[in-house]
Amino acid sequence: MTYFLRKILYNLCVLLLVTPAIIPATAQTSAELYGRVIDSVSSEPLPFINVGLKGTRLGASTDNQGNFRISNIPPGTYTIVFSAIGYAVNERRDVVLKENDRAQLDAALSPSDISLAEVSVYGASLRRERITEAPAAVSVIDPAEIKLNSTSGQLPRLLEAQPGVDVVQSGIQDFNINTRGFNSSLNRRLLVLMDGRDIAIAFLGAQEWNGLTVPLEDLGRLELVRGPGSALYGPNAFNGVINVSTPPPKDVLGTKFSYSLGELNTVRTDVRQASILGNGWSYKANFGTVSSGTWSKSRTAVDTNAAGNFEYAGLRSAGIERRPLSNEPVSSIYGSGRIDFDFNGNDLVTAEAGLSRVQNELFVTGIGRVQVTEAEKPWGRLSYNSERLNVNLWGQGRHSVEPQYSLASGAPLLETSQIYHAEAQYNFSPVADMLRVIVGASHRYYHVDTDGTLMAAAHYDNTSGIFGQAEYSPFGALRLIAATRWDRSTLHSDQWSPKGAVVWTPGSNHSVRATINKAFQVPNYSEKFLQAIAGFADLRAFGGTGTDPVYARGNNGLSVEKITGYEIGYRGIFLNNKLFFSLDAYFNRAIDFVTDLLPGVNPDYAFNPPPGFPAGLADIARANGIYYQNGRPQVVYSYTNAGKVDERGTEMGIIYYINDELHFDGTWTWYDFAVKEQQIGDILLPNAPRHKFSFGGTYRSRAGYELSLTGRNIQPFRWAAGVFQGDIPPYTLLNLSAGYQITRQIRLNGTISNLLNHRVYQIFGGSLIGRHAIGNFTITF
Amino acid sequence: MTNRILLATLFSSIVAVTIFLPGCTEEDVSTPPGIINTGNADFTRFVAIGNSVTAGFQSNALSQRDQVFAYPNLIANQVRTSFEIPLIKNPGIGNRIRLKNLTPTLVTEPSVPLDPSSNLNVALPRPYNNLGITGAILYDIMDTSGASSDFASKSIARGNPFFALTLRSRLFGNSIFQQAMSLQPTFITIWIGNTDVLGYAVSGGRIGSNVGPPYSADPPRTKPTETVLFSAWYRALMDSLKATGAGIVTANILDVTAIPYFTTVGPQIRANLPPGLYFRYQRNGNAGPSNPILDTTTLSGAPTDPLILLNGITYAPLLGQPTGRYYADNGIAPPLGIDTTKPFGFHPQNPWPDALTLDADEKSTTHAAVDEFNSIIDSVAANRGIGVVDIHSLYELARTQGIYVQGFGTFSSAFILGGLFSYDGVHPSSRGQAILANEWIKVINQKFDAAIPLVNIGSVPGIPIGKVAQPGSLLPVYEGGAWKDFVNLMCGGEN
Repeated sequence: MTYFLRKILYNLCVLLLVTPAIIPATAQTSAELYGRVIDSVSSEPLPFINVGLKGTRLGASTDNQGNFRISNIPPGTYTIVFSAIGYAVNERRDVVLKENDRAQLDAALSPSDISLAEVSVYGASLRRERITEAPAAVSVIDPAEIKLNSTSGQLPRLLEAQPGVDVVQSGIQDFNINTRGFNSSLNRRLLVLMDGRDIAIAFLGAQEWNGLTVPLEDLGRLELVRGPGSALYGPNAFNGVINVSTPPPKDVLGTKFSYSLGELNTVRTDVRQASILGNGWSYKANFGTVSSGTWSKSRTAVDTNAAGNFEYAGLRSAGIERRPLSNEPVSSIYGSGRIDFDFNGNDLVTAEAGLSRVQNELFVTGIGRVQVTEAEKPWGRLSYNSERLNVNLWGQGRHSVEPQYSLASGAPLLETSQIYHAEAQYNFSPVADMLRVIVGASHRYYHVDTDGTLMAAAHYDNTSGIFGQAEYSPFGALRLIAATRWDRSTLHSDQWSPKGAVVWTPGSNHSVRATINKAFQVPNYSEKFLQAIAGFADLRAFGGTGTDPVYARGNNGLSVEKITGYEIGYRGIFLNNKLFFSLDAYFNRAIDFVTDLLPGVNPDYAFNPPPGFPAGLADIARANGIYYQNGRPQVVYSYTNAGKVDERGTEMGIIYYINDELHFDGTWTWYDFAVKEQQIGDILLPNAPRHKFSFGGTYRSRAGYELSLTGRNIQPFRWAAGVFQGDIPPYTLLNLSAGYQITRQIRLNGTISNLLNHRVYQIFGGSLIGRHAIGNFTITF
Repeated sequence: MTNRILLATLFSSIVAVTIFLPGCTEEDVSTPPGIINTGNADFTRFVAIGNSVTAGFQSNALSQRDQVFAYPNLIANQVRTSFEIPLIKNPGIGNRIRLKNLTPTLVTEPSVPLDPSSNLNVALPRPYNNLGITGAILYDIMDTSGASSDFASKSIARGNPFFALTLRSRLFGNSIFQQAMSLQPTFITIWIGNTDVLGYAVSGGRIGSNVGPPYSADPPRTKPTETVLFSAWYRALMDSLKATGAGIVTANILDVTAIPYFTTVGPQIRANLPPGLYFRYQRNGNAGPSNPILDTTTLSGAPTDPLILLNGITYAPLLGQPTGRYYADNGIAPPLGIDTTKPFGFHPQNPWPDALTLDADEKSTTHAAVDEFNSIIDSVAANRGIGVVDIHSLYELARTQGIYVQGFGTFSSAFILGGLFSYDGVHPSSRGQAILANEWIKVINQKFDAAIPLVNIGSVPGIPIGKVAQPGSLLPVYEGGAWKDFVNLMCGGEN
């Protein structure tokens, strides 16, 4: 443990040493407005209240203490508008601001009306804007919702009920989140950013959901942007982007202790402490552990049931595993610290670092299941944020303390990887209120080493991008957005990703948009450089010994997967701000999918038969991926790019507020696809149902009770990801969450996922997932 | 048990169950870029006359998957001229043989109906450019019989649907030759004569294309076409073609005894014959005390006689068993003197059948016909300045040392593994067709001062077999029977 803490402290120190290098120099000539917003009934501070200057695009939202600050206001007379969901809009007229003024303006909002139009999002155009004006299909999970549903401790669960989202669980901590088709085990077509940090594992590119270093209830907000997004986000924003932002220390002041207990021997402990140190300094520290049993079962020869099957029929055809599952609990331990320095209310420097250690999690992959024995994931981030300039530097690593094991082959796998990333963006408005421009650049460095277990050598790669976005609003109701990004990398050829969007907002309650996007996904290290023995074949016909190796090898010549999306969307608010409706429809064309492991597709292992080698046998050899190394035959399976798929779909979402305490929501997602081209032997399936429904109701009483019941219905579909291929039966799952704020300090929470204990497998190859009830006690002081 | 081992080594190898066979692909041959220099040859209206190889018959069927890779189609593709063919729906007419796995197991697919609707190009309002007709002999080129019934009666008489299917209507011309003429060809390839001797050979020396008295002493249809008739017909045909003014190239015929159909099963039986046992086969007619035309051989050592036909592959595993399965399969009563309770192939009273054997005499008859036909072809063509593609030497090269193609290995006459032949052991594979096409192109280039690019072997599919290998028997087997129809087609009708 001391080693663990030392490591965190070391990471923090490194970051702090470089912090003073960034000293902003600003000379203010414009005015500033600040203040505090409270609930007029309870006098509680109100976080995330929008504060705007009417007739301008200036504005801010309040922090968790209800404070807001709007800077760089040109001198003048303004009408200040305070607005938030569930509160009546509060307007203050004739506020006069002079040069260098720092004016205070507090407000008390009456909780009556609902103003859905004021939900704001960041991820659609890299700046805060009203959700109704966002040029993309966006869902937002706000802090209140996160708080209520956080007891599970599992981030993917927060997105289950959003339109267009596929969240599938294959083990206690193995989730795959996707949107709009072509999900996979180890899905990575959705980019996940936590405060701008790409949390994917370097080697595989997929997320390790139990490796986060903040508990779920400490996530500030979560946004999901659906649709291709490489123009703004670069590589791998193929189907969409999830943006998670954690709150700064000043928003979560105090000490919090949280303890959870639940089924499957789940035990979770989270501790957080945050304070203001004065002179602009503040800090936050998190520490926690989680441990639980698992639903997963071994699939070795002795583990079959009477019918000769594993947990469900069809699994055997994926092969019998050689190594049994570890019986140790799936656990993780994490710690993180953050220090903020606030220069003058406008410029913020943040240094943070963390470390998590994960144990015994199980992944379903295309080449069988893999169990992590113990891995360690340090990370650090240093950022500078101001109104114009944002700089984000981060680094993260993953290191196998103990080998992870391929259960299929029993082979140990090791990963040591680091990613370092630097990014800066600058925004300005050459023509105030009409034209906004964002420009930026990023660079990332990868180092991935598997100690020879998966790749022959360590790999070092660099990837850079420059991007720009221009928003032009010729008049208030119309917004035109053009963005583009250029990526250059040692991992792929140069990629150009444009985006165009038109948003028409005839009134604050309705908007229509049309967008065109392009995106690409880079083959991961496994697909490019894998080198592993996959089994043995009898190649005596080809001059072999009868026990000849079958290799799985990456293909360094792989190109990126590409997608072009066309999309239209509508958002509307009806019934006096009580009904929120969104409908999105899209058409995507995706090409150059990286195939499954196939024989004979890698030109580096093309069989060139020597004179005398029978031509008919050569045909068979080539089709079977046979390759001669030093005169001995071997089989080489590898990847190639192939396929062309057209996708279309619609996503509908409805939220209806009966009153300010009770609301219902529902979604319907329709997805359809057509495979236009395909590599022989490859299976191209979207791994998503044609229809998907979700529904929910949430009650939040002013007295502190909260209750939410959500459910989703998945229509049957076929799953194919590598060795795992089979039908997913239809299922409906219900989740129940409840919370009670006993006092300002003490809160009780409970979550039951899969309330009715329907034991279903959500991806083929995954475990049968049952009910998971967890209760939580939190004390804040 | 002996018999199980007997043929286990036919392919001398076992391939692991993880091995897959290549899937069927419908690829297009890539057309060469740039301007094609055809020299003095004018391919505006290109006609190919011939038999099954010209038609693209492969693996015992005529099917669209393979027809497009017939050598005249490949030549037409190289010179970029339009080339219409009767396009037969998959899996084709005949019972297409497919390699199911590398056991090896060969399976046959059902034939599409013998019906115009099976021809995807039936409505073409003119003769086809590819007038290659499976089973056609030299005589058939000028033959006008059956024209009055739109060749239906000819097809029925010959038990061969391809005459009616290819020629379709007498309005296009009342013979193969006439239909070619009505296209006003500017260039003609003609490769005919193989079937005039092949039919005799594939039937085990029982059925031929000879006319009989007065041209020979043999009864009609028991020997290869008489040389005197072959010579007369060939000269007449070449004169008629020459008179059109079109560019002409012809080809000689191959040593039909050197193809896998004759060279695959015998050596395996020979190699696996139990010591001390004699292989007994029937030479002619009925065996037995009253008809002692029965030969006995140890099949050991160097002798290659008799040649065992590929359709014997079904019965080779039965050697030594008291079986009359051959007779049952073919619906014929065991001939007088045959006792099917005796060990098959080992006992004088249950010998290996004549129809599955080409004995030494039959082989010399075949060789003699091939040699004579080829000298006729050579001299007739030479006297008229017509180029001859030396197919005979090409196949001889394939048989002796193989044809090495960089990146594809060595094409040889070995069954399946050699890559040159399809699964009927007679007709070339698609890549075999490409190798043939290149021989034609070389002669065209030389004779017509042209520079037509050669066909890229890689642009045509490799051995067209499909699906997943199954673990199981080590014996090479044909599942389903196709050979009766095959022999009928090749020798112009058994009955």
